Amino acid sequence: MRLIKSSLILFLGILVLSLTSAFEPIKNQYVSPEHIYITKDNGTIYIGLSTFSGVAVFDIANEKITRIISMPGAVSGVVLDEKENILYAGSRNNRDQIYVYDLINGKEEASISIAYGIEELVISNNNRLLFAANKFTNNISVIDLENQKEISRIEVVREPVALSVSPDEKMLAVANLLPVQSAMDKYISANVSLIEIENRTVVKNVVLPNGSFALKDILFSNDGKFIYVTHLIGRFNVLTSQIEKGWINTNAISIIDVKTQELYTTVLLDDIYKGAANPCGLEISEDNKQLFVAVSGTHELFVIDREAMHSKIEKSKENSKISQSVEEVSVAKENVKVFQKFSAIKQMEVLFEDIPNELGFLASVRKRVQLTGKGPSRIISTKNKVYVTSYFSDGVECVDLNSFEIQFIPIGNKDVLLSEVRFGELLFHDAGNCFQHWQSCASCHPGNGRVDGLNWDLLNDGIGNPKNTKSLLYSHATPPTMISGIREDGETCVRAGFKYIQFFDASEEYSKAVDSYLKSLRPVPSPYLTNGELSSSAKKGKLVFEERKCNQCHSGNYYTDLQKYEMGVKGRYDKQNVWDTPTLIEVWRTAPYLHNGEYEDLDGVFKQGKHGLQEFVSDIDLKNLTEYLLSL
Amino acid sequence: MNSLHHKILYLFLPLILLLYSCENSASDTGVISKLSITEFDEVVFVTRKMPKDGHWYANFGYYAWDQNNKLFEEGSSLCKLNIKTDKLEVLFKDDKGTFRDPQLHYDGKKILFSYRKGGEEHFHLYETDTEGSFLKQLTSGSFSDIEPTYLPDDDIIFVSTRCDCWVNCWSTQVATLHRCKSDGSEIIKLSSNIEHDNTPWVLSNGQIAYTRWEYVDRSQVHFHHLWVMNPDGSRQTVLYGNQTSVFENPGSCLLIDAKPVPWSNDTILATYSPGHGQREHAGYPVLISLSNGPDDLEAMKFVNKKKDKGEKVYDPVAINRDLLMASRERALVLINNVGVEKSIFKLPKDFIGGKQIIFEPRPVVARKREPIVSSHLNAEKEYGTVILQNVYEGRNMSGIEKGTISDILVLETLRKPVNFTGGNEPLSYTGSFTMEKIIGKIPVHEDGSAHFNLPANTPFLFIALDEKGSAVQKMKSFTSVVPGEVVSCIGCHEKRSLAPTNYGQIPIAMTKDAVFPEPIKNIPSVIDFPRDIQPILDRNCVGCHNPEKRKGGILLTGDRGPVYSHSYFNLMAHFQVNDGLNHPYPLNKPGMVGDMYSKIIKKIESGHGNVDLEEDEIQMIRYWINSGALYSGTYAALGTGILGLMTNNDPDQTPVENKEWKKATSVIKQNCRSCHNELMKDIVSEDNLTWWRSRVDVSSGNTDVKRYKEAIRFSRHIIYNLNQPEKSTLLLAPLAKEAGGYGLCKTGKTNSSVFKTTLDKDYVVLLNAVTNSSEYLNSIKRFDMDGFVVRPDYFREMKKYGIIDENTLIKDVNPYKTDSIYWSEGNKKYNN
Repeated sequence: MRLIKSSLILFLGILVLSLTSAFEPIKNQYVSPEHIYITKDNGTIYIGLSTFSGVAVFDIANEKITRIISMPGAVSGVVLDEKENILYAGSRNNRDQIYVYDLINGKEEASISIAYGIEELVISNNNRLLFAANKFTNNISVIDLENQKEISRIEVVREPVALSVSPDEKMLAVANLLPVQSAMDKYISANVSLIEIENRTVVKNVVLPNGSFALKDILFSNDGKFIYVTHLIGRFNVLTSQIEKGWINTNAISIIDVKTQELYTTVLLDDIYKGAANPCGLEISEDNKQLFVAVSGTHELFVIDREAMHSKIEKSKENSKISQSVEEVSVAKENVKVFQKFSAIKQMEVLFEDIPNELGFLASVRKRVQLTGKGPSRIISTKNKVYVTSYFSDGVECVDLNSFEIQFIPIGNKDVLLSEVRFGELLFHDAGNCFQHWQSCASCHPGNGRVDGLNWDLLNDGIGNPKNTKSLLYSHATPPTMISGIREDGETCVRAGFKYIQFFDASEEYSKAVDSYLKSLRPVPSPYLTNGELSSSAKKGKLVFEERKCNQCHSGNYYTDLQKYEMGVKGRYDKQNVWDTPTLIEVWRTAPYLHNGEYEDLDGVFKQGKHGLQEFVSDIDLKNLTEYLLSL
Repeated sequence: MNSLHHKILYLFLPLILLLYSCENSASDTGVISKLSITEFDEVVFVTRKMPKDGHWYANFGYYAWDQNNKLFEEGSSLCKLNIKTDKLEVLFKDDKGTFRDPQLHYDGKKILFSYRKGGEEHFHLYETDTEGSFLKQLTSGSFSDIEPTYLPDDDIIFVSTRCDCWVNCWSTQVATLHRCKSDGSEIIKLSSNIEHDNTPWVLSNGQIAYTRWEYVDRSQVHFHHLWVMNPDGSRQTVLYGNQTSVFENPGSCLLIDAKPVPWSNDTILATYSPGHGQREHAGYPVLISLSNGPDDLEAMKFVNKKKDKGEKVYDPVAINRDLLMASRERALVLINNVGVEKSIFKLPKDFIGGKQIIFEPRPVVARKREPIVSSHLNAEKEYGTVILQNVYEGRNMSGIEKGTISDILVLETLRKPVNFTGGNEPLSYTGSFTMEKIIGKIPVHEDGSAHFNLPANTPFLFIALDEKGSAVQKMKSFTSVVPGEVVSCIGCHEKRSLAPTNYGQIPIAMTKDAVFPEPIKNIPSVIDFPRDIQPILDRNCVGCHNPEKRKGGILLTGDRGPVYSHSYFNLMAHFQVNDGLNHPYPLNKPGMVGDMYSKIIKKIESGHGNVDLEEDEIQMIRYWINSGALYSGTYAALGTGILGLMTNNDPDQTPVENKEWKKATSVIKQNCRSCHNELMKDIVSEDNLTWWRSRVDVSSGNTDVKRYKEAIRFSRHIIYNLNQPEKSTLLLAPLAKEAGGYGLCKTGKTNSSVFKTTLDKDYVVLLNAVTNSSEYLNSIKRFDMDGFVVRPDYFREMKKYGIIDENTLIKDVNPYKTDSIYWSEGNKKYNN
């Protein structure tokens, strides 16, 4: 019997082994691994494949992908229930569905319908609740795990993309990708929404430093004292004449004090001579000592000594006190004393108030680990290792925290020659093609070539006239480009972007690839559509659109006649008043509006801006017109 | 091989491996072996003799005062060594020539180097291959081209005397960064420095690291640290150092030859050459981490961690994380990561005639090209644009209320066409070595922003002025723009590591068009003290401060002493002017350098002696102080019109080598020294104060204030009056009042004046000596005297630069006009 038992174990072992070794990297399709979940025993990792219908399962002990769980479509967030028997995966294709997969029976059980645009999932086991960040409806779905039904939606700010539940499971923190306000405002910031789970209300939208946008990931510290959030700070008040010294975009982690629900400070990830473009995934080690950041634009993992970072921040508060005390010392006016030293603060000491602008602040407390793949996205960690999904390289990077050796585990076929579109997508996101790696195209055009909500002063039409970032959707199909129409076409823009914004002389091969990628962009169906159709209000709005002759300029398939027009009142900084007619497709996600982003919504465009509507329009007509436009 | 052999091999394999690893790892254990080097087998280096001049930069060209006195040595070679086999190949040798600065191409096959052919004057760039099978000359002309390196686009960056200027505190030529095509054509000037820029290397991000030496209202021997620029010359920014505090601890140094290391993108290897730098860059290898910015002292680590840092080496290069290679005299040495050294090769003592030293060892190895930084240069423009975000931001701007600063004054720090000494005379009394040209003013908007254009390739510095025209803060460094460059800065002395703040709206200046500096009305661009300031003193001050009244013991007349006028010397020596001295502090509290707290301005403003100056007179004095408070307004003054002229650092004794002065010296010794000790000697001796830094010494506490005050009272600069010898304090102080003297010096017993009448024979001796000096000055002429003729060396160099044409006679040269053409033409030469 014992022999049989042992033979059986051996047989099963061989079977498992053979099954394990049976996994072959997926060919002929990009898998783009993104979200990641690790089981409580640190035994298995589930990886959401964002361009392949499946979830990859990674066995930590054997450091192998064991299988791909097939899903009805590509996947965004992944999470397991408390007993880790059920896998929930957000759908990328049908963005209002959560796939429910029974890991015991090995089959898809059901799907849960929620709001639209699902980006990330987190679970609160104590509360038996599942939360989904709905990027395109600007809300959070709350799903009751007992009956697997959406029970409420919590409205947040704009494009929620990442979620984190506090260790005591009382609070949910939400990272909103973009600000929602006029780009002419003096202070612009995307927010972190703090939600009390018990009563499902937003208790605070925490404002980050001026210019904060592109929030990507959010995480509570293990002691629940701080929330960390990755984002960019656009230095949008100065012109884009230079990139070094953090002159355009800087890359940051904001730290929120959970007790006060206020921003504690923001630290820059960039070094003085080397940027850390587009930070994404965050993770904290089990012992709370290390903070990990996936820097997607420079393909790096940052390993930050979290405690040392906090000590350095606290030390800077002392520096600020000393510096203030020194300032009170009266100025020595006697010549002989002129050259006495005057400050107790060394020139390199950091003052607390300067931290959000201080490049290289982390240099002494972090290690930059260059990964082998491209486009690191999300991170999880075990005691000795960190696992990073590698979006463009279709695999997982396993970084040993002692030796910093990296093992790349392919899910897709890493070595396959990239298609021109995929190569272009990589270049668009790759800050390796930027002088000193400060930013990539995706920095100002996050969300696949869309908008950042900020005004920028580019040098192409003079200095001192900042204009709002345009979405690149259909930019090649609707020449000329830039809202000023200063560039002939999308192709010219791509080449100028490399040269003047990234300070990089790109080869024609690179530029063509980015052209192809941008041309491949397709609109996301509007969340304002009902079952893919215009709502009745939108249908009425379509008539207003036609009656009011909006379609004279916004004509054709792309809702633009490709012409420039003089447009009423000149803005505060404008040096011209003739603007190119933009496409209206996806106008639901391109706020703020008009060339200088003056209006945070279409109501403002029509009511205050009187855009195209000089004559009286009834409120109901305006409501319907807006509904129609938002449905495009 | 049979199986037994296999078994034996396996048996001993671990042992063999162990032994091998011990022998071949250059680890912390201190074991070093050249066999461990896997990166390359061959090394290229040059051999040459040690140059005679002690300065790090003075190893080409000639001394200004003697064109035939050359700085280079003769006899040199370019060699290749196989470090594994010790096989030495002499690729080229020249008994009368000099080789220097070899650099390998990215392919590891070509060698670029600088070579002065035997019998020729100048170094030019050459190429060969690692076999020495050809010799291709790339550059030519009457310039020295040195320190070349390849750029990733195959162009060459190098250091050249094509900048046509001379060291501000020595008698040798300056060389700065230039760039050319791979065949030596299309040479353009990259740096606008008026001092040396040296040792360019391409950093891993494609930028150029180099050493910039600058003074700019600081000191001449402290600031030669590391800078960085884009390969088109734009974005010249500090890389590491340039703030004194950084180097207080290990002491002043030259940081030079900074180059990337193979294992890190943000660490560089440089040579720390102590003090003002050593001959041929002798020093200690330092690894500098750049990630904490230019001011972090901790970022610089000596490779040899011993306190004495070991013996100095030349030209270290990093092989890998564990090993550096450098040279020391005839040896090639390896140094490991804990500073343990091993000599791996020694040149024969009599190698090509002997006295040969190994320099610039470079591994023969291919390497990766760095990225090419996109150039935004627009050659059609003659200017670049600067955007200042907020002048109130920056170190040492706190306490300045918003709205205080109304303008930015733009000054140009002026290149020197020639120079003869290590001192500051006669340009200033222990102050600046360099003249500054007033370019004009730029309006500052209420938010502290400014937007302006500057002529390209010209070294500028800025002063933040308040409404009165007073200097709130002075930039003690220079900046420049290349054509079409748009460069931005945050504020004044901003911390290098700070990104710009989002204040909530774009700077006002950005919404306005860029302006060119507006020239200042009624103020000459270069202020000349005798011409522009003395008449103001004559009108307002000399009524009291003349030799007759001598109120407060102060003379402000324009009468000439041996180097300066009495008024100039007194204003400077008595600290009436905050000129910035010659002091190594880079940052000052607002107002500390310039007119704002200058005592002379305070005296004028408070109505001292009931003076009531016209506004334009006050402005002239403010601009004079703010542009460096110099004596002469022409560089033709250098090495002329001085008694006790320094040639290099030795005073010329000619003015006292005559019977009048022999007698006078003995009279001084007998009559004056009993009271005034060693203070007085003769008209060429510098009064017991350091001749080039007396004011620095007293202001920094190195000289006792009392002693200093005594010394300047009896200084040769004030006691001899060469315009009116009989009005010399030397004569008036011991002369009885009744005889027209001051009656100050009494003899011990009778308490009567030393000289009762002007007939006293000792009085006559002294008068004769001063008269003799007065005649001497009349014969040699100072720049502000009628009949002044420029020095032949000035004439020679200006002709060489093409500023003076061949037909012009030396007596017809107008120094002010010639200087002016030289400055404007010089900045345009070799421009993009």
